[in-house]
Amino acid sequence: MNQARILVGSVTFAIQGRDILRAHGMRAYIERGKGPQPQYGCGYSIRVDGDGAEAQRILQAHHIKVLGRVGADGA
Amino acid sequence: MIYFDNAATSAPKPVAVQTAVQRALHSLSANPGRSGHDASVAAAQEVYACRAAAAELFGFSHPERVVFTGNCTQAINTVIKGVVTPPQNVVVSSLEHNAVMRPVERLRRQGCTVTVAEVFFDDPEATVRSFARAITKDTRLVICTHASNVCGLRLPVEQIEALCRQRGVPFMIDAAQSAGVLPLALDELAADYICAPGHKGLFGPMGTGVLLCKGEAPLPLTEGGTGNASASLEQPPDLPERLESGTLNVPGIAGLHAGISFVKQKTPAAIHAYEMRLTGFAYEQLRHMRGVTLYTPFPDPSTYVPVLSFNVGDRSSEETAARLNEAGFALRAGLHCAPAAHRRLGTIETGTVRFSPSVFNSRGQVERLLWQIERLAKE
Repeated sequence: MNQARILVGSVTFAIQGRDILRAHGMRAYIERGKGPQPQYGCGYSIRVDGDGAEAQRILQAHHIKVLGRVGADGA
Repeated sequence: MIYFDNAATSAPKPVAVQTAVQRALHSLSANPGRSGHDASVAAAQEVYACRAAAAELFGFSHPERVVFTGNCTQAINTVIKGVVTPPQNVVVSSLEHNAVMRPVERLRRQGCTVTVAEVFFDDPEATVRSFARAITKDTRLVICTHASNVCGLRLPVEQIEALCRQRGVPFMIDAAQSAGVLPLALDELAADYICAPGHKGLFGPMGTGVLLCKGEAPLPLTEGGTGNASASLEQPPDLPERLESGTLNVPGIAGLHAGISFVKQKTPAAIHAYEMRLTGFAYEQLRHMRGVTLYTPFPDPSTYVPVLSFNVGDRSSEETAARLNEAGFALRAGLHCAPAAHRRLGTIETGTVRFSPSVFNSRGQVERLLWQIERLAKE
């Protein structure tokens, strides 16, 4: 299964984004980055089991600030 | 002690609130939004759940713009000091609390102008016209209490916000006495900011408050650690963290979440209706007591919240409250941190005794209070 990690700017966005993705039927979880990521803000991200690009599109449509995406066609 | 001082803080708190605070102290003692361990994430989830509950209660579709503060005063200060800069103009109603009047007085001394819009008790249209006259091209912020903490009068905030929308001026509602009692649907309102205490009509613990920030994010009152953008020395731009530096009051927020759930379950409309029945009953009985002075027309539920001011004979309000305290009743006397409202009522020299019931009071308790007041009036 594809997995993507979507990087967000705060724990608030991480929880809100996870809930939005779950409401869209996606498997989403909060994760903390494994290493120092000053460029990615809070270090929290949303792990998605599935289509990372679609998850990112959903989040941005709900005004969740996405700082980047790792895996599943992301950077 | 029978407690009628719910306009200051509600008591008792629902059992669910007490339990939630204890549970948070026991199981959520980790810093939310700071660490990756399960305890920190669990605390952050509880904080977010409270944001979402508050947003839903206030008809606001942006939980990420619900900011936690220490109380309503801190929320109000955040907006006033974070939005207005000299020499801009601020418009306030004539019934404002010192939570508003003191920060705007500081701004006035720094070069701002402050215009007071007169409030009329039996004529909300006249009140709206006062605001229309007060707002000028220099006005940066209009501030209006939703309901007076001295006399319970509701102000026509819907018409005032429409006026502000027409004039393009940000509008802030002080919901200190209305949160949890009167409906507010922020998505449908043009209001930019709602400030509310967590510990009054929302039944949360003291030390909690919320700022619902639909408009532009104010400059922060406090800067520091937010758990995000840590490499930058600039305060992060996004709400709510922008305005929430330092560790949050997780036990308080968990209690507030339970309080909001309590209000939702009962519904603000039912709470308001019940408390207004007690207030209306007290008013009618006091109106017929010789020696008792009331300061407003009958508190109709459509235009009042459950707050009632009175005095007994020539006694000072403080003396009356002290005598009632000796008899086992908790009511607040004096100026209620709102000298502007007392000037408007003509009670700046005497203050008043304030009766403010909650859903936990019964009619029988009100009857006992009235019997005691009648005894005092006859002395």
